[in-house]
Amino acid sequence: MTGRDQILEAENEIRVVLDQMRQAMHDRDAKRYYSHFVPGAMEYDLAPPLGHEIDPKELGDWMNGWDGPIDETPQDIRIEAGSELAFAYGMARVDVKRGGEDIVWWMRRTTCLRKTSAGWKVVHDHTSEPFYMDGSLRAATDLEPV
Amino acid sequence: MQGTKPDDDSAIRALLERWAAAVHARDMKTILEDHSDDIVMFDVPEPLESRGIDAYRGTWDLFFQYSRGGENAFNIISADVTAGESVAWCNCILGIEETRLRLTVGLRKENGRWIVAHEHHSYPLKSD
Repeated sequence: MTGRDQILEAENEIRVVLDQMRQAMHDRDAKRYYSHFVPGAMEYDLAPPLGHEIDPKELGDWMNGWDGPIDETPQDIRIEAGSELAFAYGMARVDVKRGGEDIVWWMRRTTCLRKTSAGWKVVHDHTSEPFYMDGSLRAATDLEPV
Repeated sequence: MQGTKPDDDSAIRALLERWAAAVHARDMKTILEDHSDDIVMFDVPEPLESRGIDAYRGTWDLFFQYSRGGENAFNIISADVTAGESVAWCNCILGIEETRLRLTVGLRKENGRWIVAHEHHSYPLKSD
């Protein structure tokens, strides 16, 4: 394979991993979600603190705080892949329900991966909301892509 | 895979230090150096994303509406660099004045030189 073919193959493999993570999120299966991460992987999460190691119990509790599936729909994920490291980034729409109410937000996600003997695994993941600069420093959870 | 090579680690750290020093000096030309034309920026303020080097420059124009620069304006408090042959990333804790935020930088190597292709700056949501 040429270098270009290898990169395309890596991108395809990573898209499959990201799809499987979204399916695990939909199914609210924290253990399966984190099976795509290396042990001790780091997350910069929507919520505080600044950063933390992956914690299946905490993620499971968060997942169970919603009624039914957590659906993340990515828009235009871009992937920068080498032979052993890659990062993927894009915006995503999240749809959840709580107390009969539909809740929707857009966020940004950057996922850094390493190729291991067991395939591509997440080493670092960063999700966030931008802020309004109107002095309120409110999280801009109602923005949509322009 | 092999771990990050010392040369790559030091080149990426030097890039980040030059960049932070340029913010202190409000030196836009140097801020934009080592950044790709197709950079995608996820910044602290809205919008969700800024695509391309011109939009990236615009995020710094906005920053300097709020910051006079100086040594507390923008500092890399800690940086964890992971580099391969052609792709690298760096997870940082940033200091902007007295606040602390997160920064993930994605880089690629072009013609033997590391350039920044993606930045993601954020504060966590306020806990209620």
